[in-house]
Amino acid sequence: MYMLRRLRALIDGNIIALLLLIGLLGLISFTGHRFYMYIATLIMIFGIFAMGYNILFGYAGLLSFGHGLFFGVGAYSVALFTLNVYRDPLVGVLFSIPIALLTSIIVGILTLKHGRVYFAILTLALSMIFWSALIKLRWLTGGSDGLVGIPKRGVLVDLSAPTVFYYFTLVFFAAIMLGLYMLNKSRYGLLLRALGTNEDRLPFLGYSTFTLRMIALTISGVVSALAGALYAVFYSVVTPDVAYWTFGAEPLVMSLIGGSSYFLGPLVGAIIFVSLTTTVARFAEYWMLLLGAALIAMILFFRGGLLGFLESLAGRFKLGVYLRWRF
Amino acid sequence: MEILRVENITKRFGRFVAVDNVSFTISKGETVAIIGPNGAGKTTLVNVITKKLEPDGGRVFFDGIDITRLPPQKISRLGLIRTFQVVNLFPVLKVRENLALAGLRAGTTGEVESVAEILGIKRYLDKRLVEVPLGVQKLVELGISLLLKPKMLILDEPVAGLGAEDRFNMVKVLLELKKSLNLIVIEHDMDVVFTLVDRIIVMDKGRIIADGKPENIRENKLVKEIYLGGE
Ligand SMILES: Nc1ncnc2c1ncn2[C@@H]1O[C@H](COP(=O)(O)OP(=O)(O)OP(=O)(O)O)[C@@H](O)[C@H]1O
Ligand SMILES: [Mg+2]
Repeated sequence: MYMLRRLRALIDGNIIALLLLIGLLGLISFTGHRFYMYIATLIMIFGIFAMGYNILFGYAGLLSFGHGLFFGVGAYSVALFTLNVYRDPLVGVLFSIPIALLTSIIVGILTLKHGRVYFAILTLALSMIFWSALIKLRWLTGGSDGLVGIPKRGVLVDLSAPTVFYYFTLVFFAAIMLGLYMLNKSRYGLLLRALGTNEDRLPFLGYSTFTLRMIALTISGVVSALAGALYAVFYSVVTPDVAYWTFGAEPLVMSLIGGSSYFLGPLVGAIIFVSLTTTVARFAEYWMLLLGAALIAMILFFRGGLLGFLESLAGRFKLGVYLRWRF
Repeated sequence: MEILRVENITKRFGRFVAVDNVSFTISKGETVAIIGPNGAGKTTLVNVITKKLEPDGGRVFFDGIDITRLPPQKISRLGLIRTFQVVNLFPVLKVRENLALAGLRAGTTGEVESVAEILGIKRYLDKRLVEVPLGVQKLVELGISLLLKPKMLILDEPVAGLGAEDRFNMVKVLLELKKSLNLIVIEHDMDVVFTLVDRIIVMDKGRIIADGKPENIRENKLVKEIYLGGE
């Protein structure tokens, strides 16, 4: 009975949706259709990025304009490591984890003690400094040309076949998503949600808000960096663009589109965002206009994002009980 | 044996002195009420003691430790727990999750159900805090405090805004609690105060104007004038 209760507590709409999505992504590889696999890969990478971003934004309630920094750190870690130290994409991607951890802690120490508004500005400032450094430190980073020739075929793994790389990404995607799902269900998930709900109360329960914010930032930073690392291997090239602040704002937009107070909101947002940007590319000149209009519409009318909209629809038809999607 | 010593605490807001050179000592086992008219500085005093606010002067000792410079989370971990006058919890989280936050911190997760049982809020455990009545929210505040295993509990107006029945429940619980921990209540309801405490500290305009046994306070002329007024 007890085990059954535990199990039931772990299962909700999110995990079912997640498993279905992972299955669907797996199936896409069987079509062998290059373009679908291309889009799916980008969805996975940006899904990871947005889900990582939302740990800080949706859970802990901290708005970061500097997540391009973490994505960039991941991307450049894998590039520098595979080109200079050890030629293997898997080891390279894994190498980005400790680097991202270290970066997150340093960023946290610099930004987390000064309140939310200053956090937003400081993260923006740090990512601008990082971006400038990538351009100026030409001997190390290749300047604005970036680094090319990041290997897909390495000493340990060979990801040069598209399907193999696809599965490689899928494994990371599935592991990270299931990890975040477990986090959401764990005590840390609860603490992070409490942080976003009423952080001023937590010290009187004996919690240090700085420590909790640091945990949120570290998880967020590492997950975002993993997205960057996969991105670098996928394109075999990195340029400073990935650390530019507008790039770092994309996961924010994705979170808002999908619904930042829903566990899967950022992922849903990434699916919409990537699908639109890759298929409607010929509308590129109107992209900023469309995006701006969409954002205004979201903020004014659908602040819960797409999932919030669906939830209110479901509520109207008394289906609310079947949709336990909030985190 | 003393548990709390407040020495010359002063708190200003700009030029306004909200707490003016307040000192007192509370012994282990004592149950104390702090009363006084609106704006007397009661909440501000508690805010300074628990470091919601920084004092402008003075020192606070709890259980033999100088806590004047400690951050609120350290004070909380020493066992000095407070509640807030206006319910200050986690509205979108379930009642159970609100309680679990305290349980996780103090290693008392296993007691969440039994505390909810004692407080009579078990049937609300799986509702979000915003969905339950104010009386229940106040009991959740109390439940959180209990799960933190306090040595001293400061309650800022525990029955304010409650109906007769909730009020009765709360007092019943507090009467039981005062046996096992040091209770300080800030309260306007004199029935509650006289039922509950062994000692009353009266504040007015930031100062302590009387401090003594309930029966003496009831007879104190100054107090009658300033506070009990009409009665
Ligand atoms: N953060 C603040 N900034 C400025 N003034 C404040 C602040 N907090 C309290 N005050 C003022 O300090 C005085 C004391 O307020 P306090 O809340 O401590 O009174 P109280 O005794 O708790 O009253 P009540 O019984 O109404 O709760 C009041 O005049 C109040 O307006
Ligand atoms: Mg008050």
